[in-house]
Amino acid sequence: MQRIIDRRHARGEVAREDRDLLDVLISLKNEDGSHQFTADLVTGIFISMMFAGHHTSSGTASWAMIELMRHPDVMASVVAELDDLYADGSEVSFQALRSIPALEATLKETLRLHPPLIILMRQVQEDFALLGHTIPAGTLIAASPRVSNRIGDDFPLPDEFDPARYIDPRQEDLQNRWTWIPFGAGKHRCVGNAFAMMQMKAIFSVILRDFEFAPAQPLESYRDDFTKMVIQLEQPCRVRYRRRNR
Amino acid sequence: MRVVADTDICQAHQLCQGEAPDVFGFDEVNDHILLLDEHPDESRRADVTTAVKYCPAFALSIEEDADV
Repeated sequence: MQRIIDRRHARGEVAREDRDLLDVLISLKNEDGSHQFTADLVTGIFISMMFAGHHTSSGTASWAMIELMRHPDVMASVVAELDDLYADGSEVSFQALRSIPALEATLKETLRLHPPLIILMRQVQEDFALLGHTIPAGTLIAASPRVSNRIGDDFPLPDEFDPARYIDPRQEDLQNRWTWIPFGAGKHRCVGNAFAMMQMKAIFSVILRDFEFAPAQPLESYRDDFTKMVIQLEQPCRVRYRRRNR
Repeated sequence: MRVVADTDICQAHQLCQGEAPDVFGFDEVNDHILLLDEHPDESRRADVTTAVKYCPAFALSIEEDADV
């Protein structure tokens, strides 16, 4: 990585439209003029970028399928929505994935109940008061999407799976942008949010078009395994699928 | 309506410009959105609402004008 960075430095600054993430990261300087990120750190950032989107999306897609099986009425509305959207034989493309409200609401509600990350850490920048305690600058604190997403004042019947929360005018995600936090919030909010939603819309567009799914174990037996950093479904986690008759 | 953009949390995805290019511009120097029209006409509501809804950073919102 250091060799690549050295070559980039030797090449000098490139035009804005040709700049990639590496160019941006190595251009950042500290106040004393030294480089902000070492080759080690840049490598770490790239590894995070590449792998942050794997288990998170696959776990969420799995949970979305479980919740759809638990709620056949929602499954029916999502399948009908997709059948309608692709009825003209159109391809799964960016345009097709632009707005799929019932599926989007299902994915958002899945993310609210089953956020793949349950601890988001932040370093306190300035002393602040919280519930009668002073939290000093430098402290490492954590917010939990799993807890926050189920705050009853913001999300009525918080443990109920209800995609209608996201339909106008409720929009419980936008209305509660500091407590609906499957992607975090603020300056360090997940940068892959839009990509993840598009990816999952593509996944369900394809698999629900061609297949139908049924639980292969009691519906209440699907649960989370909290032993890993990225929460996954506890194994075994099996479903049956068959090609749709149409 | 009044459009509010929190440029501090804008991540420069620029999706809003796709929805309503007459309302949302871009500040190339500081890498964040630039409001071109803080009080868009009511006829622009649908596109602006879509932009707010799909902002990946949740950096946009609409505030309704108080009745005078």
